[in-house]
Amino acid sequence: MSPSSRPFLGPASLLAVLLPVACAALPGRGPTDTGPYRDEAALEGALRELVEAGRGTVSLSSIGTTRGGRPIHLLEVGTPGSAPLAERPGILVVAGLEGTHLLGTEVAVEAVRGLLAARGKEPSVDRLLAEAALYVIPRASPEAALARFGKPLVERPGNGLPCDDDRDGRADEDGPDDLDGDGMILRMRIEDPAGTMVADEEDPRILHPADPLRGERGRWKVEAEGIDDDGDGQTNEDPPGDARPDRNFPQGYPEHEADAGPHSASEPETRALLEFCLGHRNVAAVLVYGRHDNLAQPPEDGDAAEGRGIVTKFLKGDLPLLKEVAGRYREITGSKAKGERADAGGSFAAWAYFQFGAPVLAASLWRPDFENLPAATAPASAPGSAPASVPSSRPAAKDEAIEEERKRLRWNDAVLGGSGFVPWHPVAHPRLGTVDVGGWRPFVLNNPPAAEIPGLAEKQARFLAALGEFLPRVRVGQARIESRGGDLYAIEASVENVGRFPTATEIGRRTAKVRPVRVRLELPEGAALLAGERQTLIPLLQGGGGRSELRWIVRARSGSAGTLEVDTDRAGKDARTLRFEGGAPR
Amino acid sequence: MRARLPILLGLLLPAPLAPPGPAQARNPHKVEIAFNRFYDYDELVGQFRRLHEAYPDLTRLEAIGRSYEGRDLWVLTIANRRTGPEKEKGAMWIDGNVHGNEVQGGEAALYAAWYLLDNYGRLEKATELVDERVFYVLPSQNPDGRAWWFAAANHPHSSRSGKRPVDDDRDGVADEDGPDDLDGDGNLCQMRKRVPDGTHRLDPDDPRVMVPVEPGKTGDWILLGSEGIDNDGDGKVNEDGPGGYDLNRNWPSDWLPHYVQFGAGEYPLSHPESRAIADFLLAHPNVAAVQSFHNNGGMILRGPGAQERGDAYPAADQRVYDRIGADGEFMLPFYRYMVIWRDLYTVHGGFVNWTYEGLGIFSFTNELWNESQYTGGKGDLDPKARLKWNDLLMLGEEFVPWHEVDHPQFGRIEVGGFKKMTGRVPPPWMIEEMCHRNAAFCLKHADSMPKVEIEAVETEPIGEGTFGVTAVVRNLGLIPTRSGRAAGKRLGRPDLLTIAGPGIEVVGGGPLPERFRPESVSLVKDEPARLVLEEGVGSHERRRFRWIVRGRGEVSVVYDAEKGGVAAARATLP
Repeated sequence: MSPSSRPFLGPASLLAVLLPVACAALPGRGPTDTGPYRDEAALEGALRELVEAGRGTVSLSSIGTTRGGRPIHLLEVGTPGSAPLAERPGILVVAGLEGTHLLGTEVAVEAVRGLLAARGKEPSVDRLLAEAALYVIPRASPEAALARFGKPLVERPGNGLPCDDDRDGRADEDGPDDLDGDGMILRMRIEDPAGTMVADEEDPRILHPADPLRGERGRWKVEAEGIDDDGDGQTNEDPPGDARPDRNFPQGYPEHEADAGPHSASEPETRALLEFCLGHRNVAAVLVYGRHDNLAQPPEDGDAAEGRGIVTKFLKGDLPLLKEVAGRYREITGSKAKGERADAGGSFAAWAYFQFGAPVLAASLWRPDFENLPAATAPASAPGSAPASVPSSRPAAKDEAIEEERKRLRWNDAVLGGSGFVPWHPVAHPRLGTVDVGGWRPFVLNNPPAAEIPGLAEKQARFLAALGEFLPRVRVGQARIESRGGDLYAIEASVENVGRFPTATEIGRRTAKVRPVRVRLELPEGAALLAGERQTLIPLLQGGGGRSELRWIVRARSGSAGTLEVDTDRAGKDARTLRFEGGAPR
Repeated sequence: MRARLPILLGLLLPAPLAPPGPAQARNPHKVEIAFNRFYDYDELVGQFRRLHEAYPDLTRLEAIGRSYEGRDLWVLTIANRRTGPEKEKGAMWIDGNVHGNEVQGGEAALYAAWYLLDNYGRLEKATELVDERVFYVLPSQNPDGRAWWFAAANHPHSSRSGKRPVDDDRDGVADEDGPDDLDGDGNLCQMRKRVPDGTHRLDPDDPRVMVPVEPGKTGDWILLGSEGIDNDGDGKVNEDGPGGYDLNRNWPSDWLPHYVQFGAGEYPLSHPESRAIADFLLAHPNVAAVQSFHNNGGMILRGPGAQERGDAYPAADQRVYDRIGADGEFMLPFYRYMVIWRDLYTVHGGFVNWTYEGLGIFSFTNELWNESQYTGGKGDLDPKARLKWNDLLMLGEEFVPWHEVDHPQFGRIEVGGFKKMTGRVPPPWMIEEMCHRNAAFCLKHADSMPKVEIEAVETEPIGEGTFGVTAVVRNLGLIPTRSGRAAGKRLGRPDLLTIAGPGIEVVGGGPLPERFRPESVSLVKDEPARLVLEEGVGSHERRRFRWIVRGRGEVSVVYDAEKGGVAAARATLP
């Protein structure tokens, strides 16, 4: 039986660990409640619980603070013993970079809890905790997450840095408003001769651009729910500003785009993550939970390693590694949740691969499962959805975006019982008369119902344990010492990588970000190195036993001992004592 | 009826402390500073402190941050508080010495500050600049590199970096094998060794000069590089010296990582020096001109730093650059006005590239000192000519004669060559001229900064209780209030033109493109009493704006430009 097909702790037992927590955080249902998702205090409480539960295996600290003074938490997980965490190959898990993706935080926290619970029961987990360092940053952008717990409920991906979106010399003076007092910011549709949107024929809750060539004529203007707070004739044109740390990293930075921050690496969250990574050169794999994905859909093609400019596509040499891990991921999780490309400009994932040189694994974790809807669910004809003014001849599925939205609404009706999409309903608007308010409830499309979280976290815990088996590990292989008469000794030794990943990715070598494997020969007092290098730098040891052989001739006293040391950034270190024995005076 | 009542805000009226006197040389100066020598970092800061103490009303001295080794980054602000708030005046930023060894930028910045203050109330232009403009002067972007260059044995090209350790040879240890002053004479020179199968021979006319032998011939010397030993026993000499980065590649515009752009640093503004300076500039949006002094070669450089950034420089901005650059070539013999990538080399993430491309500020880097100045442009500067200069004009001071030294790895060798204060920096007696010409170029650049005035507010009745009000706004500067770059990329705050009065209602308004057709006013959709002007007012441009106003009484019009000051005028509607 291969390790991969062996049940991991058993879903039932892990669920038993996870469920009470998830349920305990469920404070009842309502349109604006925080659901299973943890606010600042609840998250901190959960992290302290993990420290407690870890009994010396988990420590909690912070990698920086936001402009609002909020700590960015870090969990360091690893069984004390073999080597300090900094000298073990590391896995870094980063979640909560975007305020819209609360799920990642929950999964990261619960996956750690799952790993702790599996100690002593699952050998791969014990190995991970004993031989690797697991770093978890569960909420990399705490300011952004606040939007999920404030009122009115509104999606905000970034950290709220004030920004003059409408270029009128004032910042954030006209944001959305909760017109109907339901505690949420939805969409607002206004019947307007200048409107460009029409209702979809199949599902009139959907509004899409009118196609004049099909004889359609726009009927609605669609905006975020709100009023013209500053009286400039425009509605919601300068909402609370935003800088998205996950668009602020210096790889493919989207310069001068409004939500990307004033310049690259301008945001405290960005700098905290950069400094963390740069201070933890042992991080050998980066796992990002967020809007990006390269696990459900690994990159298909890559660039050659040659060339002089900045690399912007995954390098060919790293594709097999990324594909193999992605395959393992799909095997374990069954996830098909697609996301944006992991090399998206300005993202942490892009920086972590293209400049930090680590294998980057991005998972969006979840999306509504359109394919397996419960049977016999006709699309609901929602109240408040007026029929389109002009009959549409648009055939089904002609437009991919419309078809996707139809699927989402079918899922909403079948799985959420219609609760995810608020039907269009008339509301009196102070300036515009009667308008309709409705649309997707904030956060519902990126964050699943509570019941799905434990299952997702359990799979991620299993994947983390599996990922541990991939990490590179250097060892001193054989080390032969031969007396060459008198006090002369010949040393022949090899160093090797017994892990699966190479000691450096191709991008790590191209960027020179991963230090070569260093081999040092330390001789005893009075000994002399006659041939061979005291220090050798080896650019690469492939996984699966990739090795390098070295030779020296030394003059040493019989009975004395030296040391052969091998150390790396990302593949740990090892040492062997060399005993000079058997030499006879000539 | 037309009323012409241009009124500048009282705040902006020049109010010199003393009336300009006759322009003649005088002694002593209020602050005497010798410009025939270089100053280490503490001495340089001390001179700025003296300036501040002598001119407390016109200056402010503040530390805007700390270097890696904990030295304060001092900025001297020159501004006349009595003539208006600092933030309402266009400002010039002057710095130097971002590369630790390029020291003379510090003296040039000091000279610019000293010259302005020394001539305040004496020369009309200096007085005007101090009263109506602001200067932020940072003598060294890299205090650690400067301090190290002076304090330690160095050569002309060493100590370019800051002092933050970098593992140059990637062996896991940082800065473990730098150069060594083998003979303890305070100089880092060259090493040579006599061998039977050498690559060089001694020049028969001047044995101080090493000449490479032709292919196939055998010389009797080899060159062994800069003075130093294999400190860490890895078989290499001087392979991991102090620092190992370039503070002038650490800026956010077009930043690329170290493997593409050597010295870039880990990410934009990753160094305490660059971050402190960036924070200062972001907090001072009134900065409208930047000069960053380097050495050497005699260049007046502007961006783009890389060919692919060519689009970042709109044609109108290039014309402004070209005008200032042409004046620079006139003022600075042996200097050429150049585009960095095209005429020098490619730079990603340079300082002046960020100040222009990221902040929209017209910015130059002057490379101070050109070797042609050794001979006044006459004659070649081959090694023998350099030594002749050294012998005749410097009485031999610049060159360390070759002499024998024992080297732990190479055995008996010889050490000798030019000292650090040669080649890239002028000899002491030529420093002052270099400082003056470059400071004068800065003042010309500062004098080109935008300055808005409301030339006229014209009113005419156009019906019962209704008036047309036209404001003529003029930019007195060569530099537009909003560079094409700033307007195009929406950098900084747009200019604002407001009209207000207790008894008026603004019915509509906007820019007036055709002066003789008042109906051509381009009505804005919203808030006509507060016009938002992304493009600002161009180089030496006059722009007209017109409102339809109902009511009567006093009307005030205010133009507010981040980089061009604030101007106001009033009119009365009868």
